[in-house]
Amino acid sequence: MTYETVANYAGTIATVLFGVFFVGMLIFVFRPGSTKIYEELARTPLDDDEIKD
Amino acid sequence: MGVTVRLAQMAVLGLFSILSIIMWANAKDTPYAIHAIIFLLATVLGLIYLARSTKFDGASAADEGEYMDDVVKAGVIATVFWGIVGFTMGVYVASELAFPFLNMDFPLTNFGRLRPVHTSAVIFAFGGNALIATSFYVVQRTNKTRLAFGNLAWFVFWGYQLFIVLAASGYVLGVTQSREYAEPEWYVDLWLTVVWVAYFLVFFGTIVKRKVSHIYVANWFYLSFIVTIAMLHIGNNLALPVSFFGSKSYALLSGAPDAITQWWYGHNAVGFFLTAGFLGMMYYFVPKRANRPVYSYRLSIVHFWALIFTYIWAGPHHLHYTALPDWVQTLGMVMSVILWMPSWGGMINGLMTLSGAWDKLRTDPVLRMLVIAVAFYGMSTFEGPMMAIKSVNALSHYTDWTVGHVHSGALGWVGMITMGSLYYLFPRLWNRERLYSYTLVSWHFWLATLGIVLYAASMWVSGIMQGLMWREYDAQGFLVYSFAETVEAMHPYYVIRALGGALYLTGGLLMAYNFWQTVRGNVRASEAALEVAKA
Repeated sequence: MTYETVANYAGTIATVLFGVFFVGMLIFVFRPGSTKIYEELARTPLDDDEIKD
Repeated sequence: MGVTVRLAQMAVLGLFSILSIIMWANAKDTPYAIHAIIFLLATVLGLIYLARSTKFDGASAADEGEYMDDVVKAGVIATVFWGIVGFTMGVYVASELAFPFLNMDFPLTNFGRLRPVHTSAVIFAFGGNALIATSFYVVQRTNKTRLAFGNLAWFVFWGYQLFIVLAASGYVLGVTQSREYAEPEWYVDLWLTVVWVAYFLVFFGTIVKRKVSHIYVANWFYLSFIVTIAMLHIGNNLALPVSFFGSKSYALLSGAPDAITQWWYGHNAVGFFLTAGFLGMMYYFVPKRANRPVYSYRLSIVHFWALIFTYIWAGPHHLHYTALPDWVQTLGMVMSVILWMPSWGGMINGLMTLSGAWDKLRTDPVLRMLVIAVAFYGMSTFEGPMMAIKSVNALSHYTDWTVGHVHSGALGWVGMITMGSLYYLFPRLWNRERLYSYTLVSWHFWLATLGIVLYAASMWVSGIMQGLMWREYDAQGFLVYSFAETVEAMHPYYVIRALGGALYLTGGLLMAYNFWQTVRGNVRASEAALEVAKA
């Protein structure tokens, strides 16, 4: 196996992995029932500034 | 703080002191010796402070029930200070371009040496301190816990200031490895690496000991900035010093690989330092100031992953039509164009956070500043991908258009989001009812906005003119203009640019005065009366 072959395979595999990760992320954030959770999380900065013990 | 821990800290600092004495004694060149002395002074001051502040009764254990805000206070003061320094240097070097006699034929005041002082002062000193301070503030609030590792945050703060002083003094003395936005030589790079690892430990440690289950999106942006900058800094600065006791080093790579490493670093300094980090700021301070939830939290997650997946590839657009392989240039161009999507997704998310609170823009100049920052983010991330397209780049590259683009991003996005956040932070950190004066904030807003307009517009005209003059052929195929003729034609625009910078600096000075009065607990007399009248 030459450097070129390895580099070629590595490039293809990485592209597929990144693509799968990204699509997986999209599916995850649009999972059913998540709207309520995200609406909750969007308010995080508005919480009062008190520390939790 | 136990006495043993304190002794261990002092031992480490003491070793650094001894090291700097060895460096000073063996120094092969004067700037290196001066840097060794600065380093020695810093470590000795640190030792004196540690020795004097040691508590032997062990009663001063860090109060876990409180946020660690002193280091944030120091950070915002440093941000204002370095901001004024950086803006002043910017106005000065801009004036040097317009009126070359200001170079004074003196190496220390030469444009070539002062320009990196300006760029490093605004990016790393002003921007870096803003990022460190706000990240420490936000990570505590959104995770409901005190900063991790006790006083390590203070080491990050002072270590970072030391890095800035070493870098800036080096530039003036002529120490540079001539890599854009990474000019400090090898030993200053090593010091920054130590500080950065400590920064990562404090930030990540705080996330690990969080009291809430979800890690808020602002922290994702801050963390990606910290991690990526560590990787870029080490990758870009791989170099071999000529001597361990001299300031000169040579890069490990050469030619095209070196150039692409430089711009892989350079563009991600823009993408992760000047964008991702400040987006962390946006995702906390815009909702906070508008008192509205993030427009779409789902979009913020997609924004995050799309941005960090894409930015890392954009560097080659700085090397169009060079010895860099053609496919790499095309890749850089395509990825830059794709960046339109996450950038505008993020901008929309920031702006739409105001839905239901748009009326506040009329009454709150601080919110106005935060919002115009997001608007400038949208504008410069529209312009950037366009300039990355090869055929546009053929005209724009190496001209002032690039300089104008950088400044609409730096002054408009980075500067405004930082100063808006500072206006939010100062009264809060010092427990003041309100800012000294909102009228002064309004003045600052308009001075800065007008300054950016003058800056960007003059550089568009100057840059496009310059590019067109360079490529103008006559009927015989000869170039029509000499280089000096383009320089002469650009003079009026250089004057306008310096004027724009001066307006921006004036706004910064008003801000510093406003903060000074706010910290002292004053409220501007006429505005106080106005409030009484309203109530």
